[in-house]
Amino acid sequence: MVSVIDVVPSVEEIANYKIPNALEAIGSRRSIRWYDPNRPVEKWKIQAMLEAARLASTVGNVCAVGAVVCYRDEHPEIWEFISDWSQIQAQLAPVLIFWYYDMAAWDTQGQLIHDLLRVGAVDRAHGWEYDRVCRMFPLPKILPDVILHRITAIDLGNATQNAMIVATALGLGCCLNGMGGAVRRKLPEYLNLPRTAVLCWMMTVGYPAEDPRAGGQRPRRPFEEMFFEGKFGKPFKRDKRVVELLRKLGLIQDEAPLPNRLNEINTLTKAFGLGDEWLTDWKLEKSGYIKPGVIRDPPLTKLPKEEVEKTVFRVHPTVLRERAEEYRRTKGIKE
Amino acid sequence: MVKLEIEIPDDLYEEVIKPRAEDFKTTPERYIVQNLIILFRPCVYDRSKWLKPGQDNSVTFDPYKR
Repeated sequence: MVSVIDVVPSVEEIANYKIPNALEAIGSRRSIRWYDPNRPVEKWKIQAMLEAARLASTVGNVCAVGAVVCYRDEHPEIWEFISDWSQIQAQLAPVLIFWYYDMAAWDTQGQLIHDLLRVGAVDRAHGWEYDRVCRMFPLPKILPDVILHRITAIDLGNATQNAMIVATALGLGCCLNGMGGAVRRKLPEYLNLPRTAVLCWMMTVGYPAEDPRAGGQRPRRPFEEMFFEGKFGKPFKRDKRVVELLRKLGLIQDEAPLPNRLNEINTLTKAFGLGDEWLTDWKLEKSGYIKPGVIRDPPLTKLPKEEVEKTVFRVHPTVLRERAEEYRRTKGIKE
Repeated sequence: MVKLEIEIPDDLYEEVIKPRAEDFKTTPERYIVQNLIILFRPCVYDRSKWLKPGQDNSVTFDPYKR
């Protein structure tokens, strides 16, 4: 099997792509968990994801984000390092990207801030001067390590998000997978990462085998519980007209579960050869988050076995050739 | 292994560290050390690269070796 194909399209060919704008791409991004294992990914699209990650906002131009790209079929032994929760995804996705941040990048952060002065990205009016930067940077001079970890991890979040938006815009699916303690300890050695690197995420990448809408936009905390005006506790009121506008622009889309999602999940489960014991056997419902501060979370409603079985789309063998001929004869259909 | 004697504010110990150690089924001391290892292990800095006021701060290094 081939995980990637190294062909770069021309500008004319790209013109035929329907590449969504930023709002649509952000609205369409999902964590994709079902990939087409047999469809290789174009290498240029992986590079595009990495280019987007490189351009993400980064604190004081530290550029501490890094990634190691692995192709599933060239590194089959990598499965040994992946936790059980991520096994199905890692086996289906042709490309795995291991994202880390490197604390050693802080050593040369001062020079990279000077570079921002050099190219005119920052200016004297905002307080930037060569010698002042010399006194304050790199930030390990003045900030405790826990703060450095925090801001570097935020950079990694910015970078991976950029990569995911680009992946979505180019028709790919991806998903960030966490790594348990044992995996996090062993995998850096396999990937030859330095001690200063903090390995954070395994990103699975490939073409979705599921509908790219993946059952709809995920329920989140209510808007008014997350965002405020002026002070914490005074909710930023969600304007319904804005919601409608953003719906038309593709940022806000139908929330999960979309109709027939259970059928989709269970048909994929069977199609990939997983047994009946892996079929999802609970009723899909709307989010339990009723309003700010009220989460309804009773146990999931179990479905009877026969009802679960009905959710699987089954393909039956085609009719025998003789029966097809007989059918055509009686119907007067000619070859 | 180095042995250190440290002082921790009572409320931090009682309200945070002790219950967290119980969550993880470990001792408070071990829980503190586990967190410190995660925090400090990657923080190995090369101070020779850090900026120095009043001079050319050009630096040459191998980005693939630490």
